[in-house]
Amino acid sequence: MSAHTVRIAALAGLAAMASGCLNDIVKVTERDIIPPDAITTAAGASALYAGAIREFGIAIDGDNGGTEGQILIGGMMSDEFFHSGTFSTRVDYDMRAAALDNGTLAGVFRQLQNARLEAKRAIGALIATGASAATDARLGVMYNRVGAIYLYAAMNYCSGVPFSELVNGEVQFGPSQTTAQMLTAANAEFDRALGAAAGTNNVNFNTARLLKARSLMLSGSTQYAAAVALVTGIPTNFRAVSEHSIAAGPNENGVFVFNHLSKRWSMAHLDGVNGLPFRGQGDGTNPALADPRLLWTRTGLGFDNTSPQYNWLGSGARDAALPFGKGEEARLIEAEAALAAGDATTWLSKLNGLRTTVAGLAPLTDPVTPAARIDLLFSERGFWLYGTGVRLSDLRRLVRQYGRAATAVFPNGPYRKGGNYGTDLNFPVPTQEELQNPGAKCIDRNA
Amino acid sequence: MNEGLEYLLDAQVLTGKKVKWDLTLSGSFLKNRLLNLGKQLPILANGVDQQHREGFPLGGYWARRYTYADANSDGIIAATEVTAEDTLAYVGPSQPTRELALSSGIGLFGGRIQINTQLDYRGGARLYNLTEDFRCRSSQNCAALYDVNAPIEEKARVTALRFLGAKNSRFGFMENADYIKWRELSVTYNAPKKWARAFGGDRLGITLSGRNLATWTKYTGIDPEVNGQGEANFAQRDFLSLPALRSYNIRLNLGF
Repeated sequence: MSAHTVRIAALAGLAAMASGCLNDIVKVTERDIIPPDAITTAAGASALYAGAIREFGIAIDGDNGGTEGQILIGGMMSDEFFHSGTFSTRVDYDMRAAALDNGTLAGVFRQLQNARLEAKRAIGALIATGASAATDARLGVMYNRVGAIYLYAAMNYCSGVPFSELVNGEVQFGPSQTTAQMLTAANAEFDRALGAAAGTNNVNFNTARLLKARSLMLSGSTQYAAAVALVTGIPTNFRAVSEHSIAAGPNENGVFVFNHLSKRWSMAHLDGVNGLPFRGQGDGTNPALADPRLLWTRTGLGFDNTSPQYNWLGSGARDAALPFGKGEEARLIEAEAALAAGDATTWLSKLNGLRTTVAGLAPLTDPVTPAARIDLLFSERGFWLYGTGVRLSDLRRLVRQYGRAATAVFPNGPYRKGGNYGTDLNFPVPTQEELQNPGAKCIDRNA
Repeated sequence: MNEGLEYLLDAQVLTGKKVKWDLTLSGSFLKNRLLNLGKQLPILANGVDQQHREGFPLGGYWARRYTYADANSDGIIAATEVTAEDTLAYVGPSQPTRELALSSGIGLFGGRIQINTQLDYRGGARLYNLTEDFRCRSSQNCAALYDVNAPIEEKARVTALRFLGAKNSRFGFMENADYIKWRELSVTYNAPKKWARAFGGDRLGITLSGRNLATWTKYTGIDPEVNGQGEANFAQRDFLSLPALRSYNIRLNLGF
């Protein structure tokens, strides 16, 4: 063996030793990454739970400017917001003429489904690691989230939304469900939440009661009494919220971001002839004349550099929790049920009772005619529940349950960015879904 | 599966002492088909505009086709005068199926003057003109929305894009992207050696050149060669994309 060969061998040996030592030295535990096998642990289940909370927040409120959520799309197609951005795909649904293959809406739909599956995954992991519905409030939170997804799908989308499942890592495509089937599915989840870690008047319990009551109100007047039974006792100041933070972009409050920061959603006023005067008295350009429930501010032009930008001050901040259910809705359900039962006194009393909770609101007077009372009820719902994602559903209910013509309640006439409003009454199942899940498409696009 | 033909023709047309002329023609024909995707359903890119589907080119364009007729002869295409299909249909490939480059060099006066040029051709592909789509839908400033003299097919495609509701179609904006580009022309003067020696060298030349001098195409956007997406997953569309710029250069070469 030559001296040269010996030197090479020695160097190789040193390198190997150094490599082994270095491996030990640099070996660290990755604290911020959860490997797949750890998901089966209690800590992993907690991580899935946290992830499901976040996915729900994105699905309902939107993220930090990339994907909008149900509150924003419903608010845009209805009369709560108008489009002050540049996305042509958003123009389409603002003007109620969304193509079936609208790429932006496909992302929104996917996120809604993603949030449902993540919540179900968290439920499975929590139960698998010993969590009990009777003692662990997180299960109730998740059941409510799953129920809310079915409910928002029924509120905003056509009749005929498919729901697929993930079974052992494989996608099991589901058939289209009618609106009634979606509401039934939502109610089943809310019932699970009501039975989980119950106790009266805790957040889970009240969330389940409020959302199930909303679901029942969507099912028709035969269910109004049952809805009232559920909401009785829910405090008027109750809030069911999506939590947000600035720890990561997608965790942010999308309603605030899309409205205040990216300026792609602007608060509407008398949108498309039929819209409510959400910015207050007159032409809605003077914030001093704002309705005290809906304060706003003008901040120049929107992202399109053309549209006036009106920011809703109720959307909080980037990291503020945003309600998708408010106790005021409980009182409004009671009022609506009373009106349907012919009790206009209780109806007006409920409406005016709410108005005493905010300074500067004068009591309402009875407009007497049935149609005007319904108009007043839904106007009050519009103002109290602005930005909770119920407005599109309210317009659909006016058509479906109160016999109004769509042209009398939906934004109509000339569209601010050219052309005329279209005829959409809800959002379609995107073509992207149908291409992956053959046959999965809307059964009925009516209200 | 790719099937096709690549070719190269190289000719020295003139080889005289005073004048030389060479000509090179190279190109290809390509037929690309996805044969088997297993159990996988179509893979989508850019929404549904581009898809990987069995039996079709990778990343081909898909859209809802439509027909139109100016029934009342008012020069405007209303929504009632456009009929769109219910389902998406194959429109065309996003990648060219024919390519050709023609380059030529001419030497004059015994090489004192050298002229080189190149023409490029690409054909067979379509390009989604999202820039114009965006102007018509979002910015509201495309000519077809306002100009009564705009071509009738452009008026129809805006109507199909915006006013058919659930059947809104981008088909009209997936345009024929065939083009010929005059890629380069250069003229070089090779100076006598004594000029070079005056600068301490042994070769001296000066070249005037221009790149991207002209484009011949029926594509209505700025340039059929652009892609706003960096070809991720075959994604190909023109969206506010900067085309290859025309440039002119003067270059002095001194060799030692």
